[in-house]
Amino acid sequence: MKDLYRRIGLSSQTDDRAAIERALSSSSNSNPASVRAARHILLDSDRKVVYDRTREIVLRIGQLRANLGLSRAPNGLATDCGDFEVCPSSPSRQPRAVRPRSNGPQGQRRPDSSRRIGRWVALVITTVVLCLGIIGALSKDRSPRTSRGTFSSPSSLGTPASWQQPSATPIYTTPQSPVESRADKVRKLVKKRLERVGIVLDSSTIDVAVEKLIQGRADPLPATGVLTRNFYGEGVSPPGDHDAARQ
Amino acid sequence: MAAAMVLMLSWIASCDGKISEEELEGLRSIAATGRSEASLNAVIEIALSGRIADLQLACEVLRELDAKHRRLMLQMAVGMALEDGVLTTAEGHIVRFIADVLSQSPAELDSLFREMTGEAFPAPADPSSVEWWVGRQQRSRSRESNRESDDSTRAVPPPRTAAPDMRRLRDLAALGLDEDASVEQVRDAYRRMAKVHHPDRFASLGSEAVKAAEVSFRRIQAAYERLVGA
Repeated sequence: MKDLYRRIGLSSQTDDRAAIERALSSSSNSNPASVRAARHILLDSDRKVVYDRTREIVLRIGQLRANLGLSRAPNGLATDCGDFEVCPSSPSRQPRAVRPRSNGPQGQRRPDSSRRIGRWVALVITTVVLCLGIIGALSKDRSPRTSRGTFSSPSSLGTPASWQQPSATPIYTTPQSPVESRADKVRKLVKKRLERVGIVLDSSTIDVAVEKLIQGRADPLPATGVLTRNFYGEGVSPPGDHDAARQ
Repeated sequence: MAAAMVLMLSWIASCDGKISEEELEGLRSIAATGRSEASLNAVIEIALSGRIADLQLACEVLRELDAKHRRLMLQMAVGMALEDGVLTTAEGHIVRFIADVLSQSPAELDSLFREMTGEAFPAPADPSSVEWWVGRQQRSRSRESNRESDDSTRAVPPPRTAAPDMRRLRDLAALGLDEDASVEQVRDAYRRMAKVHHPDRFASLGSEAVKAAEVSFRRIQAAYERLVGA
């Protein structure tokens, strides 16, 4: 059974014949099947009385079914009264709106624009949340995990105190950036200064010299005198020299 | 519980806009047994106004019935819907709704209806379709023409005046029969319905239900006696 009043664009049942005729003429192009039925039934007083009485009962049953959680009950599904179904969560006691259709078989409904927008918004939000979840999961997988600070599983939850993290130590450590060792720094600097004064040495020789320099020995390359002079500055002895002087 | 039952039955009785004498008699007897005769008018008013909150409360009370009593309550609802001999579209919708409230499946409702009338529970009619109205008009016309052309072949003696004709039709409807039913069919229908509506079956549902069944039983008995001329 269809709600002819709503299908021709009237908000509620009415006995105003002129209003029905106006609604019929305004929706005649968009909804021919319902307009034909409404013209046949609502403009005939005898038929209208029977239809209106049945409609009121079906409308009440729709509301009661919604209130009692029986909207999907088997006997109700057999009645094909979709126009009178009421959304259980809706605070309004009005049945859901029926829009006139332009084409298509009788009995099908199209969701109105607000419902369509609502569906799109829900879809976008769901997609964004899913993407964020996937990104979060991937970044967690890349991070090295520490053995400390893991959470308990829900089934093993104990007292509220045990819900706290065991210490202020972060659960996960960010990947450490490679820290340049002192030797690397010295090596770079030595190489740079040697290049500046026009001395070219192979890397193994530089490595040996740098190692000696770090260990505090005297100029590892006495032939050049470059390293000591340039690295520690003029008039400044390397640490090894101070120690030797004390001794 | 009695008030909830009376309210739901009153809703069925009043859904065609009026309550017939037979329906009122049934409601009165149920209300009198449940000591709620004084409030019967108020209950009927509520049923006529169709207040959602009151009907919902009655439904929630009915849900407290156990399985056996639920079936008997549904039987009372079907009986009330058929009280005036015709199951209207609105009555059909309410009976289906009550069946859902009482957790009775469509198959159980159909089985109960067959038990009571010998026919399947009718498919829901659609008063919002042109086809239904055209079909209704055609059925009415063919009934008229049959009555005019075939009076002599009827099994049950034809009435002499218009008033007895209506009485006879109502008696046949009370037994769930069409106007062309034979005497044998009337006997079969009476046996079947007397068994279903026998007051003893309703003893466990309480005195109100027994009283309602007694009213239905008396109505069926009277209809049968008038039809077969006993």
